[in-house]
Amino acid sequence: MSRGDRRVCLLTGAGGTLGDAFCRGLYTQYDIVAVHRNRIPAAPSQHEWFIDPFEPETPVPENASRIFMIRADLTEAGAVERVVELALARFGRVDLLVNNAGHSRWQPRGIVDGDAALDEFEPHFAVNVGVPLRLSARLAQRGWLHTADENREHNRNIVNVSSIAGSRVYPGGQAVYAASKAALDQLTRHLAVEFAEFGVRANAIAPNSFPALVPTEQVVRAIVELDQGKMTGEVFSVGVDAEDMAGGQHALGAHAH
Amino acid sequence: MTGPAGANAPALPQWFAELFAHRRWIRRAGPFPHVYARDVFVPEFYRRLADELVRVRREQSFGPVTDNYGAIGAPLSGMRDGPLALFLSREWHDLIARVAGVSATGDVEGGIHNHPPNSPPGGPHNDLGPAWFPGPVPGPGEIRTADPAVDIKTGAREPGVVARENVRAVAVLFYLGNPGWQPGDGGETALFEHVGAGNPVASLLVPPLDNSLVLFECTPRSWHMFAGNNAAARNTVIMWLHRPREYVVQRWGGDSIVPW
Repeated sequence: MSRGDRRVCLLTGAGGTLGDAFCRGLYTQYDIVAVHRNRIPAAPSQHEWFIDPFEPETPVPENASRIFMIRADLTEAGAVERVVELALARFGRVDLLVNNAGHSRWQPRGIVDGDAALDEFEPHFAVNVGVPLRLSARLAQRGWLHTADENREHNRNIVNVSSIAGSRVYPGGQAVYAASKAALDQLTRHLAVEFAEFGVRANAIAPNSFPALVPTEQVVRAIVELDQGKMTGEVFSVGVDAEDMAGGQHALGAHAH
Repeated sequence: MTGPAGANAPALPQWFAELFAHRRWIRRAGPFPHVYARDVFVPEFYRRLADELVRVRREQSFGPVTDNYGAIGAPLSGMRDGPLALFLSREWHDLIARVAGVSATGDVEGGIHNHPPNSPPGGPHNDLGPAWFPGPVPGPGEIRTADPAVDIKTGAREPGVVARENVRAVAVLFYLGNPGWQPGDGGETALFEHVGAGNPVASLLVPPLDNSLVLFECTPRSWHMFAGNNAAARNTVIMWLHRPREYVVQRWGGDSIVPW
């Protein structure tokens, strides 16, 4: 169970660039359930932890907040349900769901270049839209739906990691990827409306390319700021110039659109 | 020989403690238990180690390490007059033994290994090999190294020469003299969860980053190998701590000991 003084975060895509940075930067502040596939984040967990070489048997404080890692392919049947069961068994609750796992395969020759784009439709929507939908629904059904006061007291919320590609047209063959992120943005808005009934917020961040164009740490900070805030139903860009955002608004150092 | 060596060890001397950059190493559960550390020593001491490597390479002729292995090297026992002697100190021996959680004899063997560019990969092995050392068991403060009077692999020696049969207990690989290593440059140490299949796939690749180390208890399942395909020469201090053969026979059986 959680120690009670840390928020419980269920994070997907933990082995990726953002997931690793999130875990390394926040494992002492959150109780983290980190869902990964092949790579694991470099933070204390059941897989690895710190020792003091001078006193290897003496506990070191960093290990008091070991991440609980779950290896899973969330597109497999029953995988989301297993992850939710394990997270609740480990910590008893989830205060923050970060849907960070993503699928990204571009088709540089475009939509009509054979079957490349058609073949990539299902995996993109399965990972980028289907998994956040299923995780949100299952967490709600397994607890949030019937704990409205507790949800509001703990400021529970969902942060979906979208992309600025979800609202822009970029060259390079991002059509399928961008469409899936646009769908995730709209899913986020619907989640916010429906989950307001039981006091769970939902927002998305839409970062520019990280770490190339925006520091990964800035994206991590945006997630934390959303977790700490009161906003819901918004998609916040991260690392995009304000003047580039037609009709956008400033929030958290990021922009809503 | 069941408890960790030095469980009640005295505090480390200040000269030794001051060589270390920090006190956070990483213990990993898989693919088999091992310990990994980055930035092991303070920069000034690391530079002395790296400079000493350059001097040794310039002044000593390196020979083949063993049959069917791409590295050339020279034994640590010939490097007692410089900073590399740290690896032959009792303080280092006891620290490694405690970190690994083994009780070790004080017998140390090892050397500098140099893999020339584009070296072929090795084969998975577990290092659970015999090692014969001369004389009685070292006392608490003592270190004993291999001696030409006793064949370290077989124990062959002249009549009347006293020697003891040990088995490697802990392997330590300290990476140095590999500046600018980047992913894709090769030369990692591959660790394997198992080698049952005909073509085992490494579970983890430990990069040869300067001033980093990996260490593990030698067991029948501590499968590892040099991954090869190194863009530049790869340099390593490799060394082993030891324990009596009887302990290994009792724990895993005599058949587990692998001649080398």
